[in-house]
Amino acid sequence: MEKRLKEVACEMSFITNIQSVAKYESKILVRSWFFRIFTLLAVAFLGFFNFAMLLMEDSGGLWFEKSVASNIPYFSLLLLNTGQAVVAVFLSSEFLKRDKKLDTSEVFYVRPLSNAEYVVGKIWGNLRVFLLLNVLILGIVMALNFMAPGIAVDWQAYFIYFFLVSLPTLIFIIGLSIFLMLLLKNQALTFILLLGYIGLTLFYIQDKFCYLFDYMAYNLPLFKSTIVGFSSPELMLNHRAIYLFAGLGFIFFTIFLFKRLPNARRSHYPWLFLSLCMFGVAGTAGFRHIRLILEEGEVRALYTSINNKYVHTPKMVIDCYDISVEQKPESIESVVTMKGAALAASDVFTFCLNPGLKVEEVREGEKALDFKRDKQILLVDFGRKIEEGDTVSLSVRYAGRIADNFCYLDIPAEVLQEPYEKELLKIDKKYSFQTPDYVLFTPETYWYPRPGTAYSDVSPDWQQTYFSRFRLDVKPLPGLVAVSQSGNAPYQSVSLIIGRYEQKSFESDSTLYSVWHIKGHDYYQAAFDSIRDTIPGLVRNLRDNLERTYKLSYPFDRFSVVEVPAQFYSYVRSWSQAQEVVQPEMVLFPEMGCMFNQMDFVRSKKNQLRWAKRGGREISEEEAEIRTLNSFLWIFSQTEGNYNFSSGSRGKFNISSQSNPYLLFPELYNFRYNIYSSAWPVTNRIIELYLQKKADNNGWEREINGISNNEKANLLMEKQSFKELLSDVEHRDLLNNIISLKGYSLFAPAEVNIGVSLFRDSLYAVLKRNEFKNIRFESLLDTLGMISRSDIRSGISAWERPTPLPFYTIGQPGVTKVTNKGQESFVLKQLVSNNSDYDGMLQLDIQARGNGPDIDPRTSRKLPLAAHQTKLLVTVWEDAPLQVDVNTLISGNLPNVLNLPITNIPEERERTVDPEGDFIVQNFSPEAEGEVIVDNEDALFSLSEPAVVGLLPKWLDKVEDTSFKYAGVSPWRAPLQWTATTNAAYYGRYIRSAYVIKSGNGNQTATWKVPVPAAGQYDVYYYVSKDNELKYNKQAGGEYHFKVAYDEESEDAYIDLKKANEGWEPLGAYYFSGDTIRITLTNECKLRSVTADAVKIVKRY
Amino acid sequence: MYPNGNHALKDVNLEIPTGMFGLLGPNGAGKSTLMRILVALMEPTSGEVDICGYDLMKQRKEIRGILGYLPQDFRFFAKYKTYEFLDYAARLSGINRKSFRKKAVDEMLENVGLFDVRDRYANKLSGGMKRRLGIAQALIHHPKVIIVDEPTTGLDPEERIRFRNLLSEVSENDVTIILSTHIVGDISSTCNCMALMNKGEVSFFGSPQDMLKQAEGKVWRIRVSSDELHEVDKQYPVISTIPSGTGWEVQVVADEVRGYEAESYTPNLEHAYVYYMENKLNRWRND
Repeated sequence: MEKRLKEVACEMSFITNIQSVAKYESKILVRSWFFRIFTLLAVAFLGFFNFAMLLMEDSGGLWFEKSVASNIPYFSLLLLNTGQAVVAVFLSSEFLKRDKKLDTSEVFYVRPLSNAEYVVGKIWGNLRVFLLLNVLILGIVMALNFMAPGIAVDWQAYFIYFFLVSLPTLIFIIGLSIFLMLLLKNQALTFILLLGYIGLTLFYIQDKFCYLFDYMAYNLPLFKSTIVGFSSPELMLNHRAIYLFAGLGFIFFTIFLFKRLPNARRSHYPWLFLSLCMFGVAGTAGFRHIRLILEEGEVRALYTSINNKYVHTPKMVIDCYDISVEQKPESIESVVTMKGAALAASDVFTFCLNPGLKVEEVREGEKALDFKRDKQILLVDFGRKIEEGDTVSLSVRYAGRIADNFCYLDIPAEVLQEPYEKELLKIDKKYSFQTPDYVLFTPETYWYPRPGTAYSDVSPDWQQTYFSRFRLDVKPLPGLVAVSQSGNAPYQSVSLIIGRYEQKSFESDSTLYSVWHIKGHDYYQAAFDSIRDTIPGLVRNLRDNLERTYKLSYPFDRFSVVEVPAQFYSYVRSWSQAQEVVQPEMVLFPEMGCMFNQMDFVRSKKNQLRWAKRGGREISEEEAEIRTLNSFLWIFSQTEGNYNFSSGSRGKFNISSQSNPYLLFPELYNFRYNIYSSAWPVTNRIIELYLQKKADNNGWEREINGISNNEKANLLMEKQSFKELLSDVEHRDLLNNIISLKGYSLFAPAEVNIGVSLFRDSLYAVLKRNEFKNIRFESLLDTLGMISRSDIRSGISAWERPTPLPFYTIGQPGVTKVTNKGQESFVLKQLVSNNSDYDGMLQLDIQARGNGPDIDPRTSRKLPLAAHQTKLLVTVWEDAPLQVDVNTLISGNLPNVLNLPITNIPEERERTVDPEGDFIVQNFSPEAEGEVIVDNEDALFSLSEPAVVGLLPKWLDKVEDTSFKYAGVSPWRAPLQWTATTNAAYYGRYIRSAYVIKSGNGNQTATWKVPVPAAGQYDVYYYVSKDNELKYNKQAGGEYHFKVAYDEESEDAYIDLKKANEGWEPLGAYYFSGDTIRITLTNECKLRSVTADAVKIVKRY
Repeated sequence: MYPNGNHALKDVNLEIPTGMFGLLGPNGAGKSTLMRILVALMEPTSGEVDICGYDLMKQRKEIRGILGYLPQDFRFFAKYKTYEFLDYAARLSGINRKSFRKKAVDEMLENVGLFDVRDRYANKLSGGMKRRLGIAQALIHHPKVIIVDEPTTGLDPEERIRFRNLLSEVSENDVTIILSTHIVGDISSTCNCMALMNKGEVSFFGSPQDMLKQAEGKVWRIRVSSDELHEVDKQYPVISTIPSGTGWEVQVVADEVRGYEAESYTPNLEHAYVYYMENKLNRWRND
């Protein structure tokens, strides 16, 4: 009894002592100005931010935070956490330094408290102040959240994120910093090391190594869905455990190392033991984290290898599926009856079913069949030979849970591990869901047996999907509703979604349009009150637009937008534009539309009203609602989504865009047609892109990047074959461009023969004849070849080799107005030359006025241009043409597309109008006699040594992508080094490029050495182009400063950029007697940047 | 033990009774080291220390519970107010009940004359006040052993007397106060037992009276001219030199004085200390 009392007293004093030390440690922390200022800033910033986001009337954006209420505390804590991680390092390392510095500390050391009580007290003192700060901030955010109209409050999330984000981070960083401080005995060194560590994890390591080093939970996906909550709780808790226990380990180690004689000899050793235990737990959690992710990779490789093993085994084509599914809280139970025909004679046929689902029985009628399971593969043995084309029926009974890691076997690990984020918040990527409240299985999960295998990297045979009829009978758990395809049309595959859904729908033109939202998520309805009757018309408009744009019709009698958890993620496939978010008859849309700011309908509507007012035109409520709805509908018709803007070192920019996964094109094409080849996995994609006439990134995007994606694709194709590029992970983002260019060049001969529009019409006709059927690519090409009298198929043979790139010289188009006998005609002449050893093809588009309803075939056509061939293109128009756009398609020309406006139109009277045609010009030489041009691409051009830059910028520069020579530059923030960029306004025979640099004091130079053909009088020219600064800023002006060095003399020459015309601008006339002159341009200029392009000397005769 | 092999303390064998105990010795004699060992801030390389029946090597917690300590340096404080500092010390010494603690802190502040500045930050106190706060924190939990290291250094005479009186008062409560100092006056006015330390060893242990006795008849007053003064200074340890009329009145310690007219003088502790250092330890000339 006495012993127990002693123990209790001991425990009591342990806690009391800790509290005593903590109390006074907290006092110091709270009294430090550093902490006070931080608190003030944190409260002010986060308070204002949340106030603006949640309560201010005219603040836009951040719908992601507002629509999913848990994001509000998540976002605030993430920001606070980053700040406090830095501040905690400083303040907690301070306490050891203070103990050392203050001579009065010793009077506390001689008190009877233990080292553990002292150290823990100190840490707890620091920690609790930070925790209180978190509570204070969360309290403010919660209050604002509560006051915000129309925004839910997720009470739970406030606690969960506090424990997931703040607590482990603080314990870890405080533990680590006092430990380092004790070890290094130097606060400055500790601080630098830790700040370096924080910087490294924040800016460099980030999510690398499966975000193992992400102690601040900055990259760890912690998004909590309103539908399914956290999607990977195990991974999440395990990750946070790493840092919680590592932090405790450091704290206990500090107790062990603490420089004060312990109360009893060896009483500090248990802390060493405890610390090692904590490190052990942290290490185990870390190992588990890596294992969880690596194992997934290994399993995926195994699945693919199994698919490879069975990819050529006999399979069936299923005509009819009868699927009945019963949902259980933790699993599904299914019986699938299939009726199909054998594609090859065999006893055993291969099916694929998600490896998480266990097959219990396979029957043929009443007869049980033998079957074998090899992970995802189901081999069904009929016990007799089924001849090719024979029809059989079988049923499979299975149950279980979907293995999510079976999805997207084709997607490389680095792409799978790329973060999925929105406004700093990281979202888990999930491909299926199976909780007691919610189920989402897309075809990617193979939730029902499908013939053949899933993704194989040895043969595209697995892709051969067939259209089947489906009948689906789902028994969900009570209170839940199942959503799937209607079964009224054939599909390649179907999906199954079960949840607390509610349906809102209307019928228009025999199509049932629905929104399936989760109960309580009907916030959108109120926003469209006054246009309820107009909605069908607006949706019809969208449908008409899409059908008109792609010349394809919507084939189904239903269309649904189904709300799914935001974690649901889909990837771009190389073989199809269709991503899993678009399914036949339905689009799987993120919960509350959280990924799209325009889904904040109330605010969007207000914005529409305000914008209209600002534009000087008031609009009605109805009009505002129509505009708001249209901006939502636009999500389904825009081709690009997710612009990603990044800037490298100063002045170098990059913008990339991804194709929009919600574009409904697949509904019109992919779920209706299937083009298939055993040799090439991307044949369907070729047709898809060809039909979409996918334009290369338009002007502004190219201007920012300095090079377009098509141009990049061309440069890659010159080095690697099509086959190699298809498996090149590094250039995945260019795959669309590569495939699209291949398609264009494949069909170009046919287009030349019968004209572009006729050829396209033929393609549509062939497709229409094969609706809901598989089309072999080779036979499609043969058919099209027959129609167009060309051998399209032979073009495929070139896909095995790199593509040699032709180079073209594109002349300036000239228009002459010819008046003859009162008749006015405009004669357009243009010279184009192929200067390479390879035959090529150009796309010419002429923008002419006054085109009638029938499209003039001359306005858009392909022009074949053989090696070393020059053609003079002559066309005659009733009205003056405005511009000629020349697309050099597969070529080494940069820019790849030249937009050549027609400015000057001279008039000639009383002469006969030139005959139209493409005339081959013999022995054409572009160079004029006595004229020498030196361009920045030539060897005679050189740049001064770059100015000395610091080590850090140099190091950072190394990280930049340098695979392409040309970068985008902006005159507003011009590069500090000479940077190569391309632009149609620059001079260049094939590559219209120049070097751009920020203006300076003249110490950076570009020099052209120009060979002088013979002594004599010369005119010297410089090729002037005007950048955006000169175009858009009327005040801007400045002179380029040149030095012309010849015959041991050097003269200054200037060009006033504002006054100069674009093109060759004279620098002056000189007498050259030597054989070479040097023209130097310095970066001394009043404009923001200086461009070094080309110089020309022309001999006077 | 220092890295060069020298000992900071060597063969120290002391039994300290209750009451005020003075530890006298020149700077660097090892007083502070001894104090730091006694308060368990340092560990001796060998030897045993027993405090009130507790073994310092094994029972530090118990010893820390009955100790009060005022270190030699006591100037820099964390951002605490005067009463907070005392409250913190009281809490750590186990005075857990808030009402008790408040009373104890207030009383102690009264005792040391700091009640009026209780809300002032400790860093803003004057040197003397800081010392008083120091002794207050050492006494707050009524320790049995109080160890004060050079407490009067740097204090003005008034503060020094006040401080001595404070210690004397406390010493009447059946406690042991170990006062380390190099100021002889601190000991003579307060201690009934003392030890003299030199070069890490205890060279005298006894009462101040015993120490005085040893110097009886060894202190001389000599009147000399200015020329002779230099000679005297060379021959004997000079304690004081006072100008008098035509020459100087010099006090020296020596067994005997030859060649000068010397007059015996009643010694005080300071004389005894100098005599002891000079004659017993032969330190004076060696240094």
